[in-house]
Amino acid sequence: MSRPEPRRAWGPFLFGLAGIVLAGCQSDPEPRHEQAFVMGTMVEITGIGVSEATFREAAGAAFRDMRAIHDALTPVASDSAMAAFNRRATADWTPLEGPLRPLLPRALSVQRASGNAFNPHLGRLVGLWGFREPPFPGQPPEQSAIDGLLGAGAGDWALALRRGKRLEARLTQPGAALDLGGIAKGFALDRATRILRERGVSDALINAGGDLRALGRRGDRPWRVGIRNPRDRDAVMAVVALEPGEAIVTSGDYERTFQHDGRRYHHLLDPATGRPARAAQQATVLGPRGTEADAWSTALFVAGKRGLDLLGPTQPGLVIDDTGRAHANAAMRRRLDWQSQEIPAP
Amino acid sequence: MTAFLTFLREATTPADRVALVAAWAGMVVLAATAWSAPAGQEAVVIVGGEEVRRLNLANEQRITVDGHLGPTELRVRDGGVRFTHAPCSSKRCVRSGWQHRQGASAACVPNEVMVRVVGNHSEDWDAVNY
Repeated sequence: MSRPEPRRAWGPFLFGLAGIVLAGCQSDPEPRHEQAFVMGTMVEITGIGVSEATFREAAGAAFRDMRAIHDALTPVASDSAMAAFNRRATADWTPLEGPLRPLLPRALSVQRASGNAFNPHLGRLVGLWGFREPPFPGQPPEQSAIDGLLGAGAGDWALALRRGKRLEARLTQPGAALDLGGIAKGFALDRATRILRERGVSDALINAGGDLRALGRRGDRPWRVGIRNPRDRDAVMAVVALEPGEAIVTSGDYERTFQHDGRRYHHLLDPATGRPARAAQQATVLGPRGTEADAWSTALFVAGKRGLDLLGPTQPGLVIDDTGRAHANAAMRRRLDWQSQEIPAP
Repeated sequence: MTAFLTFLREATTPADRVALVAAWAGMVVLAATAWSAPAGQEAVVIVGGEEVRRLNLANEQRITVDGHLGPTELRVRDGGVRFTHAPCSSKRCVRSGWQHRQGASAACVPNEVMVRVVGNHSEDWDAVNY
């Protein structure tokens, strides 16, 4: 048998090499976007490597589920599951319906672990401050009114659960009322992630008003998220590459605010004082589930840098304290690609 | 270099060499195009979850779109876009200012109007957490 001609052997190889290099130079796969106004915010879902029809159908299902969660948990509508719970639960053990059933045990778990820095039943205080929905009031409530609610146990430990044939809950203080604004969006992120995956979307980024959860990767790289500078909305302080399935949630003193006598008042209330927490400008938490990351970002914001000890060594946390200084645990420091020149890296 | 050229001449046919030159030239053009693309050339205007307009950010302009609550005005200037008037009560959308960077967005939530800067330049991040 004669050996093949060298030119026949090498020509296709070199041509193939050029093709491989060309393929490597092609731009990223085109992302698809779907968006909806739900849960009082703008929710955007970005998908990669999925057909338009599949992505649109999956995103639509995720948005519908978010609307259902909002309708069940809004404290504003008197016919919501949460409003019904609040009417009954200070008097009786009340069966948990809809999203309250999976959510309340998880809320109670973070409340315990954070030493009440995350408190899921500040509803009456939030209502007193007028932070439920815009327009927000131009001045804080009377201190006597705040003291009255605190005296009625509004900021205490007031949520009790019991498991019998059904899961039931009760509010043990008359000043308490559920308000799950500090955890509901994270829960909705988790449910949306599951819905997308079940409907054939394997790589996506869900952005619910700045709280995010990744599904898979963005092509050949992870999803990357910039963490905003709390005092400059146009500046990104640091960048984090999300692991597949990971959530990142931030709480800051710049959302739901009003100014009075030159002071900013925001909606993240300290259960101990009944007033806006002042220990931090911003707190960010990464985690495998949006629900807990959301609750912990609130807890960390309320507790300030001491909250990093409560968070533990493995869950990444970042706090910008009231003076604008950055603090992070080791788990977060490993993840941060620090960009800010104004704020020194933690 | 001479040895490589000799090898190339012996290992390929003239047709192979023409195809190789065309492929490598295409690669250079593609790379140059990708690296020179400017950030954020357009703004997408979304009302009620649906895209209704695309604005070229190189063209100074004012437009009005009908939101859920009423007419909403957007302005384009110096490669950026912003809300200048909205019928919502909080005016957070107006206060959010100019959006320049690719991926930046602003929304008037009660009015269900959103604007997002888009382009084909690869950014350092895919979204902003706040």
